[in-house]
Amino acid sequence: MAQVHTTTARQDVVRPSAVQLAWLQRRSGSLALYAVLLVFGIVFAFPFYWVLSASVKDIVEIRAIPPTWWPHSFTLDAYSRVWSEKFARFFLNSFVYAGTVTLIDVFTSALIGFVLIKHPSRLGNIVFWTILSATMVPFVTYLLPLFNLLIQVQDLLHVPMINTYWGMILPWMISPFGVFLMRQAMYSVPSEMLDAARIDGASDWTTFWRVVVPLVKQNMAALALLVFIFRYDDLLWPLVVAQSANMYPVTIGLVEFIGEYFVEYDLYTAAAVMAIVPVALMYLVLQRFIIEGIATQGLKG
Amino acid sequence: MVTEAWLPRSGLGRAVLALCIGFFGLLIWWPILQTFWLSLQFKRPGEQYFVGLQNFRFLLFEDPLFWKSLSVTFAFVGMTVPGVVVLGLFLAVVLNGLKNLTLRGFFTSLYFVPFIVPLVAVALVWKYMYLPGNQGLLNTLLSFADVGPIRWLNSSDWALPSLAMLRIWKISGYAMVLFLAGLQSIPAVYYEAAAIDGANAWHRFWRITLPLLTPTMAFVVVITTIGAMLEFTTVYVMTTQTGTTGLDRGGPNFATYVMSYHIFKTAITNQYEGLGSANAAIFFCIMVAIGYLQYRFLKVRHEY
Repeated sequence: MAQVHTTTARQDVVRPSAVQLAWLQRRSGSLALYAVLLVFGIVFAFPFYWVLSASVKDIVEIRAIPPTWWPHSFTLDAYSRVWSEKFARFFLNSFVYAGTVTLIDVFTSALIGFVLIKHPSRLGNIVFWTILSATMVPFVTYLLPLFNLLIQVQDLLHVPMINTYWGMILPWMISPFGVFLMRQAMYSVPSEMLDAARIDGASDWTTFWRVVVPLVKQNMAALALLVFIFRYDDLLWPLVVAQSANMYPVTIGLVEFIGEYFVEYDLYTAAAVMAIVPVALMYLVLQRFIIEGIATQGLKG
Repeated sequence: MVTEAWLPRSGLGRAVLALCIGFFGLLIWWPILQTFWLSLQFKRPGEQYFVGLQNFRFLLFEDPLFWKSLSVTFAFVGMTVPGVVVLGLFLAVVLNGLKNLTLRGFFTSLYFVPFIVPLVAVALVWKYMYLPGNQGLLNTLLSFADVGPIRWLNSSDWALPSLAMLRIWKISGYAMVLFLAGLQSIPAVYYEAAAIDGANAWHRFWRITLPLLTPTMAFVVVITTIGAMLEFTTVYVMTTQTGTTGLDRGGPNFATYVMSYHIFKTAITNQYEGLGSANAAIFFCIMVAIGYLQYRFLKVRHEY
């Protein structure tokens, strides 16, 4: 498009005013564009600045009406108070929960995707369709029977499930969208390589682990990030399974916290900042993978 | 793919499929069957008996909260989906017009940040911005224009729009990324041809971009609709019935009493397990209907 404009402008070279006008038009267009981009940049980023600045204001300034735009005072008291309020434990729980689910889910998704595409069968197709239709089922509609099932497992097999990490992790060990994502990735793995591995005497397992996994490493990394972020943000399932404070993940910690310290804005803004930081850091380093993963697959919104 | 064999030829393949069937059967499909079975029971801790369709009769004809939560849920969808689609599309078109790829990448990443950060934390952030009186950020901004102060989450008129604004802010970047991918799949030839024919930017948007973006559009609409139907977290974190603090969410005066929270409260908090399951069964059917539409749209998408 820009090229078309340039050529017409060049034809008008005999009339300098027209050239200048065209230049101005182009410039003003792009200036307006940058203005729009900047305004929305502020809209999307300002809440983060606002909560960050609130979290370092001292106890007097945070109650100022109207609020101050730039913190005049600076204190990290709120952070140390929040940290000592069991938040260290909440973070540990969140990382164990989200981290373990991520490791297991990425592994199972890759394995299932591999079998569905590279060892095709009618049963495999049926299984894939039932998995795909499971994505339409909202978790809240089978939450209660699932919880009852965990209680039954606990009673019959004497495996602790309620209020344990395993109970929290169990429903997420295989995810439909992970299978879907890795199944797509398997199309990029050349079957010739798998045949070559088999001729060399590799078992199916060795082929998967030594040949396929290195080829789809990037897809697995993207999936891992998304799974981690979604689990880290999970509230509903931990609300049901985690029943004592020492099992709470950060999400429940925040909810309990706001109930208890609703008027102490410095505390809950500091808590919110602390919950955002780990994910924000991950995003800062690996944003490209995340955005590409979303753009190509379109996950749940 | 043409496959004749019923089972995979490899032992590994058979084992993995068995694992899959076991997992999804036991942890998704079996609990869903249980939901439908429980919906026909009266069940509270310690007592359970068959009541037929009594739970459904109660929900549909005697429980005003069921209809309230259904209308709140659809109102929430109506408020958020158009906002997310329009804003997401607008941002995608603007970014797509940006020739500087470094800047485009920067702004894409920036607008996408809200989608990636934890919703519970973001809900706290917005609760702080929504503080009533002149203490909150939004009322301070409004006071510059001599508007307000608005009571936001404490007002039954504004509570649901407040949650909707948060959701639009959080999800638009996601819609934008999908639209951006859709825009980049439109062949440049069409635009070049249109430019030669003298079509201006406005015409090019309505006559080329939008029609060719229909599959992406359908996908975004369905996926954001499903997301909005399932809203739970912001209601749980940000709202109360009494206006200050308390364990009862979805207020004030049930203004933000969404379906997911109604099910959660009935089945888990109050332990009316039969009634909650009947409610969940109805919700399941609604969501499957929407999911069916998604399937239809996705098929259209593949044909394109």
